[in-house]
Amino acid sequence: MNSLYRTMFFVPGNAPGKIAKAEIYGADCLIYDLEDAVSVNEKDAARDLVSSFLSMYRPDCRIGIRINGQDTPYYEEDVRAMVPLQPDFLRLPKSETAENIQQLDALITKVEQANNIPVGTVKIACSIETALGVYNAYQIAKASPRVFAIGLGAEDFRTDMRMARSEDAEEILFARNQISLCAHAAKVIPMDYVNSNFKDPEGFKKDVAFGKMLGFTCKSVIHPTQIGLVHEVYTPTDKEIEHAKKVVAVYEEAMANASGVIALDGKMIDMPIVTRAKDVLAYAKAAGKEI
Amino acid sequence: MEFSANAVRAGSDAKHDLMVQLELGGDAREVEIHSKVEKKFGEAIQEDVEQVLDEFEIRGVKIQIDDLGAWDFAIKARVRTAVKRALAQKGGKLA
Repeated sequence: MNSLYRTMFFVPGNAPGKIAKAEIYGADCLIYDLEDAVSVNEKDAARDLVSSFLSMYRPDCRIGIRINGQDTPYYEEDVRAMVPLQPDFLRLPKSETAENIQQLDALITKVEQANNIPVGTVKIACSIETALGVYNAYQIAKASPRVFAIGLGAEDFRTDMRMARSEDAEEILFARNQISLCAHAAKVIPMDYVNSNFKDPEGFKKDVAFGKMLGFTCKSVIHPTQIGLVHEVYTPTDKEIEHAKKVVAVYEEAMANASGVIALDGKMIDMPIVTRAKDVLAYAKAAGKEI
Repeated sequence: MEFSANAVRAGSDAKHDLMVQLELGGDAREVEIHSKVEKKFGEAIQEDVEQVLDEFEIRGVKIQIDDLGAWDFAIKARVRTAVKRALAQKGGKLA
């Protein structure tokens, strides 16, 4: 298993065929969905299905479970049923305030203790889907040491903001920027939003590349064909790796010789460039590239 | 297999799923399995069903399984859901 979270692939929690096959598509992380993908009459069945699957089989990748929101009657039972399975994390929809996260943290702790699971094992990914949530993004990200990622739930956010959906998602640019900024400030993973148009691979790739430019390192996806496209965009190219190697080599040489100014190909190299180069190499290595 | 109006259902008729009809009562386990792969996997399906009934300590029950090529985890899960739904209908008590 690699250490990256480039792709979080949503798998409907009440579809046995999709649950059984999901791993073969190679996502870094699978998220079994108990929320939007499951009708209200089948919430109990989805819990039993995901629970049965994860008790008997454990895919070789990160495992998350999207539970139902705190404003639903399914939330508490979701947490009680899913935490004993020890997924890597629970993804909470409609995360609006730090209190939302602290409540979830407290409930997870209770269930971990009742099941002799070390406290802190199950992390939290926060899905931010409202204007209030976007406004509070930093507080949400810092609300608990369990929080390891925050991301935008774009459809619900558009609804809350009375926004019309545009082809290039221009209307959610501010929210994406805010989520990325707050995630980096809080040192958690910024998860980019779900782009549900899987019939337009070129448009999707452009969208992922734009998200990468905004600082996202992770994309939530809903269709198997989107997984490879995200990995392609997020994995450093050979040219980027070669450049990063040169930057680090020049920097290390300068450090060894106690040189003042560092330059590569006539351009000054300062610390942020070195940090980025080291990031590129670490990411490439984790993605299985030779460096 | 005939059921009364008290029977519960779990599952679906989608590929790789199964439909479970279940009714608590009586003092024996009656299990009927319909599956295209019954010859090869009938026994394994029966074992999965029995295992879940043991978990809940259920003796008297009628179950019909309509299997559409489900994996073992799905068979167990759907039977579990059906048992829980039937128990909930009876206020959590066995017949």
